[in-house]
Amino acid sequence: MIPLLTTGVEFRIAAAIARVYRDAGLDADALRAGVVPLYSLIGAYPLRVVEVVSLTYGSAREFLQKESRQQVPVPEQPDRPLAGFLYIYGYRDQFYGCILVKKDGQTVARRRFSAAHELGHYLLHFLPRLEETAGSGTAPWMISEGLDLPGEDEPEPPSGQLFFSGGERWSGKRTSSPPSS
Amino acid sequence: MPLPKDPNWFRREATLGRYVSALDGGDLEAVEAVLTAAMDDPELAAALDAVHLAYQEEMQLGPAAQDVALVRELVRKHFQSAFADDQAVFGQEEPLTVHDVALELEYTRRVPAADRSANAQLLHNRQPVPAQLSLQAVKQLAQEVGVQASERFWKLFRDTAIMLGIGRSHQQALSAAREEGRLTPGGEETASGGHH
Repeated sequence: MIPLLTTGVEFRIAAAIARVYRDAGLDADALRAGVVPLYSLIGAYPLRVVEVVSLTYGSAREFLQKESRQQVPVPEQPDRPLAGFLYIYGYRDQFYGCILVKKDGQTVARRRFSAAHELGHYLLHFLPRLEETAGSGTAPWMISEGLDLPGEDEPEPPSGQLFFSGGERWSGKRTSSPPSS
Repeated sequence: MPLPKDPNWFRREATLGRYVSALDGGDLEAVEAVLTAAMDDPELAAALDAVHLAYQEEMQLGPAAQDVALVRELVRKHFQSAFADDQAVFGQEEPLTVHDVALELEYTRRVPAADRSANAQLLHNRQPVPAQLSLQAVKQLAQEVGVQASERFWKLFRDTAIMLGIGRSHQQALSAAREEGRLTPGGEETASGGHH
């Protein structure tokens, strides 16, 4: 069931959700109500998801450097705690990425939110740029984005379109904004 | 300990021993001879790859791109006679293969015990991994190569391939930048980032 769209942003989000299901080979309308297969959706793209203890910009960089055996520049503030982190490296129309999610002290819902948040960035911001610039050059590019930890008094993330499907929860409430800014 | 069934095993072991001694002693002629022999012996080539990775780890070259670049320069300088061109030395311009991923899994000791036989088979497979490393593409690859392995193994395979892809793309970009004289101190040309 496609949500009622009232703004351009909602249209883009709905289109991105439809696309991710299509790319993952899933029929959104055929899914039963329940938890969305988030990691199958992310798996439609060359993205690895990893849960990391004590996630910061610094630990994200250490992880990526250890795994890729390359220097990985990330934003400053190495000790800044993060809930999620997205890293994508592209060269010659080929790209690979990694979504890091803070593991410790985070509920499953919160970890899924962080992963879904980074997938949202990938779908709404990065993928369109990748496709617009495909074949236009040979320069490498790197994109990273961090999601801050929520404050202690902030509630758990709500159930958004990437969290539940089917029934009333698939009725178009846009709840994908992060709990912290 | 049971003896290996492969009659060439002892010969390869001896060759590897000579290779390591030659590397340690700076005997470039002996090194070249072994590398040449490996061109016709995929098993030996795979074993040499493992030795190279072990050296790389031991020398802590991993995270430092400038160290990798330095080694690239040294190898290019000293091993010209063994290889036709720079690309052949590291295979960086070659597509990432099933062999590359299997070797990395072996080297990092991430292969689940039940899947060791499967990974050993994949070490012989030089088929490129899919350019789009999605779950579906890796499932398709698993069917194509005809090797039975657990779902967990193929997840590890995909994760490892993605990280190797990042590393190889970095190296290709660095290599191209060096050749064109446009390498920046950070080794990157285009970067953007943010947080919220």
